Amino acid sequence: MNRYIAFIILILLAIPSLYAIDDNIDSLNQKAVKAYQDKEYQTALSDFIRIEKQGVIDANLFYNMGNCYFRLEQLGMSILYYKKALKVNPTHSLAKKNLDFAFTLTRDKIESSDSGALEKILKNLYHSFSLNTLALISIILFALLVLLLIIMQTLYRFKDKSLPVFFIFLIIIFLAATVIITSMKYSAYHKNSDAVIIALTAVGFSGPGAEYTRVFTIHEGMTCNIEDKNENWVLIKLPNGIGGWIESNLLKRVSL
Amino acid sequence: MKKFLCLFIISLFSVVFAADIEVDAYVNRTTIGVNDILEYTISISGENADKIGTPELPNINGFRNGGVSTSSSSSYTYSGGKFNASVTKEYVYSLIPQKTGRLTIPSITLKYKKKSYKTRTIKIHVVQGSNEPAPKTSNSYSQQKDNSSEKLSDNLFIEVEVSDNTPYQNEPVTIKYTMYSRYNVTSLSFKEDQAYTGFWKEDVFTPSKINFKRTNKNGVIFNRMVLKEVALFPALSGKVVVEPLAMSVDIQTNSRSFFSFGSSQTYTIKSKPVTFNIKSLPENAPDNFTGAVGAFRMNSSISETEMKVGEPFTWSVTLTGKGNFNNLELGKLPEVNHLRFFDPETSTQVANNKVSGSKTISYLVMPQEVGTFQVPSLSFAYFDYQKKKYQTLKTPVYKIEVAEGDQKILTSSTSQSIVSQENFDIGFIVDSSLQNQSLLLHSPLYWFIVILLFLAFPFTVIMQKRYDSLSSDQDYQRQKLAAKVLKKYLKLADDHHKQGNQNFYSAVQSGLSSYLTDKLKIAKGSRIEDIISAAVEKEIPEELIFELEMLFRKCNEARFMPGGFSKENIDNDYNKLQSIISELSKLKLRRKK
Repeated sequence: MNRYIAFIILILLAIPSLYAIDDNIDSLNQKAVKAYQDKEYQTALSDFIRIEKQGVIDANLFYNMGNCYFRLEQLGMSILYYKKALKVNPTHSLAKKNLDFAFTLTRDKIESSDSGALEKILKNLYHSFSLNTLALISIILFALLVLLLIIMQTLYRFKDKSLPVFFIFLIIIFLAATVIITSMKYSAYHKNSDAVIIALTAVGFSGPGAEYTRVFTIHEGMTCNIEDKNENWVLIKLPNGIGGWIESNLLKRVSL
Repeated sequence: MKKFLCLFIISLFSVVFAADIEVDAYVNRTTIGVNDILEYTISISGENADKIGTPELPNINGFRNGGVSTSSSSSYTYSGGKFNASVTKEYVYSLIPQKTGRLTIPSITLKYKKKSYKTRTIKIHVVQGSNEPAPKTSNSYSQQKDNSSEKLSDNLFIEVEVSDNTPYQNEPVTIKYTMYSRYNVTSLSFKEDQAYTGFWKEDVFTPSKINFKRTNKNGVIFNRMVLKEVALFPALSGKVVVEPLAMSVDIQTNSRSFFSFGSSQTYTIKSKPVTFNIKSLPENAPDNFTGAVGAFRMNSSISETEMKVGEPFTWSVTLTGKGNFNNLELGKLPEVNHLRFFDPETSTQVANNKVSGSKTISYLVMPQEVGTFQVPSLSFAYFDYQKKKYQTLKTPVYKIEVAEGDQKILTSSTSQSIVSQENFDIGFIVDSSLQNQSLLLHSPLYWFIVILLFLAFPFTVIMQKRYDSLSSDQDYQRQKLAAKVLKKYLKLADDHHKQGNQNFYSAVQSGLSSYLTDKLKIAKGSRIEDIISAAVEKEIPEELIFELEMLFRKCNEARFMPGGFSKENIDNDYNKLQSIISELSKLKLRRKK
């Protein structure tokens, strides 16, 4: 029995090694940060891009890249990267602040649909946990559940089981809630329908082609949802509900 | 009867006639000079003449209405046995000619009791200059026959002096009206207020009393008096005409005879109109140009450059030069954080000519925080009409050092201020080592742990089941206890071995035999032979059995031969014992079915 516990502890100790990053990449990151501090934003950005190409997913990295783009006056790209940072870590307050500031500089006013107080609280709750935190919470809850079941099976074997059963039900409810939210977040994480306009101007048409009726004109930094794709054209929906087709190279998806 | 009827009709007529009015119009002269003023009179007479309001004069081509004066007289006549009251009302209009030529004053229609009355039309001939005849006066100057003229306009006139007829917009110009007279002027009055349409006007000089000075003009002696002086700042560009100045002058006329005292006669004289050709300002105006035109110099000063928080200092800017000081605006003050500029105190001093002067703007500035600050440069742009180009004046930037003030606690009169964000920018980058924040849900380890946890419960259940079945088995319990008993004896044996004591063997024998009886599940206290045979039955390897037999035999020997074993023997046997026990413990004995 002791052997099994030792094995589990060993595995748990191995978790941090998942997040470990190559020393080379870390030194490249240091170099890029230094370049940024020396106001050489182009150099810093190209180093950051090299790190990103290595498959590193880090909220701070995306946040820093957003700052580089902002300094290089590429508003659309900076908004894209702040959104990426927030996708990795929805609680990244610096990225949230910078995104809000960048939104004030876009030519199109970006309205966020007003929602009720309860909806706001739920939304905040939903956004205050990252996917990894939720995954961690659900596995801990699951472990607790298993532990309680074992205790019930052993220590309470010949006793009144009402107390452990109560706790087991409580944990089952919490676990179900976390699993549901986690799966919701997971599907949202993989939807990749969020996009940011990176071209200075983008014209929306009623169909996939410039020969259709012109529907709207949007500018760099505007956010939208991609709903459909047709060769080089995508159907997007703006936050205020207007929809139209634009050329797919004018926008970039907020994907990791 | 017929007579009565006739009388009635006559009386009826008289009533009708009595209610009637008569309207007439006449002028004082039919030929006037363009500088003269025509008096046009409408007289209304009749019983109810005063019940008609002032007639409205239509626009008369070539004339401008210069106002109206009213006089009335009444007379009573006795006719037909009753009094008839007749009122005559006269409305005297001053008509100012606007051009020369033959002009017509049209007929004017008056309505009274649903009846219309028409005045006659009057033809007027307007000639150049003034056609007013010179009055006969006893003036001594007119005795000089050579220069005297019979025309009034040569002896009484207003001369206009203009500083510049083609100024720029807003450039100050002055107009000076001077009256020259060769008569004895007893009283003077301005006919009407001049309208200076298109100009900002500042009065420079207005006389308070008649004050003539003798002067020689072109060899003729005149009495000279300045009537009016104004400074004008043109607001519009293009051709702008300033209306002539009209004066009503009372002149003492010659006494005709010894007994008659001279009487005074009133004349109206006008100056020439002034025509300006105002040039508009050039296009390339600086951004902060607010319309100031003139010639300026700017000075600024600061009372202190080192102060403590809360100690105010004054920063004053002075503009001197020529221009419209009353309408001067300085550039906007740039905002400086932590320097509070109170509303400035502005003082303007303008010289008597209303053109040159100075304007001082004093700001009281209160430093609110510690640090080095800059009092910003204040710029003032104007158009220099002498150099004919735009100029921008700037005050120097003052650097001030603000030290920590003595006053740590704000007095109640100073309100607390809310910290405000001075500028907005994005946050600074984060300098932290990178972590691959890939999804936990994507890692195999996560799902491995989940599966492990899933298996944990069934595993415990199985384990418990097994434990239950074992604990119900007596022999199993003995087997478990065996190891404990053996351990106890071995500890004893170990102690004896270290001392090289012969008691070692007895401890080994009792320990081993008790262990083996439990292990082999035979009755306690069995003899050695029984133990060995049971061991053979349980398929224990033959070598091990042989070793056991050897060890037991030695134990027996030791019991019967005390002191027969050396230290080396004990060491040797101790090692053998250890190997036997380790072999035994490795063996898995099959449970009895």
